[in-house]
Amino acid sequence: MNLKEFTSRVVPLKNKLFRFAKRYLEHTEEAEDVVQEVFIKLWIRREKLDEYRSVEALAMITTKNMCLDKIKSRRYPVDPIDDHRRFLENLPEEQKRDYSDEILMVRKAMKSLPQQQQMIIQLRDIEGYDFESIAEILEMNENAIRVNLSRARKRIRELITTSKVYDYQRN
Amino acid sequence: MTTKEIEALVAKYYEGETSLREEHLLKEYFQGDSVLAHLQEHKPVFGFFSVETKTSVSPDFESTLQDNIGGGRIISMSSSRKRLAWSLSLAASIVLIAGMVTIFKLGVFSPSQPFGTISDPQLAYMEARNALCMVSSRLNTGLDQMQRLESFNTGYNQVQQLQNFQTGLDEINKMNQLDNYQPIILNPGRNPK
Repeated sequence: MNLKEFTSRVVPLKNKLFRFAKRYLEHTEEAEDVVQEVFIKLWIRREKLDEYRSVEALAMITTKNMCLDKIKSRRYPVDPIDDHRRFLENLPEEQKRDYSDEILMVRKAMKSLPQQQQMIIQLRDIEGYDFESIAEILEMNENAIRVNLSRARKRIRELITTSKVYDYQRN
Repeated sequence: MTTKEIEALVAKYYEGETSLREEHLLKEYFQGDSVLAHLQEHKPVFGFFSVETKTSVSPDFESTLQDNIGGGRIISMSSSRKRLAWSLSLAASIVLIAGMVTIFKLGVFSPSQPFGTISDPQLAYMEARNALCMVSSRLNTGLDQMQRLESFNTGYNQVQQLQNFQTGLDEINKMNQLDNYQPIILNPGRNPK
């Protein structure tokens, strides 16, 4: 694979990889660094990329592994309250309108899910991958993915309805 | 799509049984303005998913990537950082070894002069004897005081006998079980709470 092919086939994955890394790391700059390193790794192996059935799956798996390594080497976990505040502060002006209070509530519910369920929702409901690809990327079997997906969706629904009730009572 | 079809799709969605095409239909439906009142609660969920797809890397991401992989420069940041750490630790060890060699060569630590201030051996012997005698007398006074601790031991042995009391108490405790059955005894035929 030469630079031209790499630019047209691999580099366009940047936003998908970035969103995936950000879901793991909950940190914009760290996520961008990881994606840069993933591209460098793939570029070093450019001669062998055509041997893989799917370069996209390979890129996603590499991103996942790098994120998990990064999280392991962390001294302090990311503070969820801090993460929410930073998210609102760093939100670009043009996106502020998109994040209504209700959508922010869904975001909070999503954040409270176990990591694996967050990743399944990320890959299925946000990126629209089929079960086979998700199974390959997360190295799980398809059935476990279906079960966890259903659990995660129901949990989000449950969390947003209970927090609505809570808001209503408070008002 | 009819209301019934949408409701069925939503139910299927939460069971994790919808296909990608059906999920696409749901997303489109909830993006629209004609969402039925009783389905409104699901709107933000699908809204969240489509908003999240807008998250993208910063504008200078590609130019950084060009710097990293373009122009034949493929050394990653992490490996250059590792190399820097290596050379720094190598330099530090060389400095450390060189420093230790110099210090031992100069003999800073080797004792070149004898310690002490008394030059007459007879006098030195007397002084040392005096000092040692004083230490031993003080030590003996301390030992006498320690002897009294012996009586503490005797007292402790007596307290040990209280252990038997505890065993008896445990036996009596079993009587408490009786309390639990009291309701049954008083009201036969009713389950105790």
